[in-house]
Amino acid sequence: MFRLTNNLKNLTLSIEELSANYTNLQTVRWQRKPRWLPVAKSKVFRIPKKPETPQEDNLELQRLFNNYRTQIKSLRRHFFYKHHIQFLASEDPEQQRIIFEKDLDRCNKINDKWNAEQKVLREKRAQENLEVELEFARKRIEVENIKREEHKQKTEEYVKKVKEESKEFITAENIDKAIEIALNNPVDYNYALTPSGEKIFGRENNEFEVKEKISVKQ
Amino acid sequence: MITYELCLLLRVMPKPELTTTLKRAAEAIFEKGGIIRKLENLGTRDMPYKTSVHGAVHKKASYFLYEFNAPPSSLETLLDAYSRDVDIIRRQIYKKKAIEPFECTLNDEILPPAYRKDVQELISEARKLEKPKFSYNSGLDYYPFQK
Repeated sequence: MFRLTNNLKNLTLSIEELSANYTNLQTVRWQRKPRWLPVAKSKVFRIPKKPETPQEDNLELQRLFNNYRTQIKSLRRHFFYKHHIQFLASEDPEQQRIIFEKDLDRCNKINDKWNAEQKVLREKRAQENLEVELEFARKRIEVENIKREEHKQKTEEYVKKVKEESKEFITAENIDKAIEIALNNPVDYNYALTPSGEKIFGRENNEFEVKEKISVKQ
Repeated sequence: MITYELCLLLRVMPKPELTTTLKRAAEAIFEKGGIIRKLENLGTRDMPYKTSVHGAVHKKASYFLYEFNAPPSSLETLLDAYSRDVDIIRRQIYKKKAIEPFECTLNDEILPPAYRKDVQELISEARKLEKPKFSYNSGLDYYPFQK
């Protein structure tokens, strides 16, 4: 932080002297204790001196403030009586009641009008919402029906398939026959694939049979 | 209804004994309320490694495959029963999976790389990353000014 110096020496201030030239400036050190530090030990029992104002000044200030207070009070009272509804019309209670009832009637009418408008809007909105919900429900029923139908069809197909397969099931009655057939017909899933896509089944069908080696020296 | 596959490795035996062993295995399934869908004989051949069970070492076995339906809770007891059968070397139960539809693409795969579709796609992808080169549009095959 900086402070302008030398300006107080000449009472006539000019723009040049106010320029932010560093020769005109003096650094101000921010030497303040942080708020959260306690009172220093040496200052704990120090009692600050009360500011003393002269008796005359005090009296004068008191007088001025009294004046001010009185004036404000009277002004406030004046406006209160001028504008308060109780004092506006006549003080006749019958008259006041009539005024009040008239006002209430007017308010009721406005309220009823608003209510009627809102009722139309509300009913329209409710009708629309109901329509939307009904449409949603109808669609859901449709989807659900389709799903159920599909499921039923799937199950039926599955049952049909299993029924057809069940003719070939092996049970305790025909197990002997099945074992006999299996023992006589070994299965081999191994096959080799030629580049042209042909499958050569079996394990021991070597095309190039191992020829007997005949030594040349004989 | 889950279809299971039971793979049985039986010790090498004459035919009548094989029949009784297979029947014993099948009856264990029937007892649990199961049905057999298929029985296959996969032949008698060498095992991938020698196996010792029930106090004997086996190097050859007869391979059999049962396809069956049975309650899943009975599988453990079935396997346990088979493990105590002296004629059975190995047994295992698998879930049978439906064969997924498969399209053969071997013809495309054995083409030379330049003709393969995936390679062509890779090349076009790499071409996109090439930095644009400035062309002089002068019609000359050399740069006419001093560089």
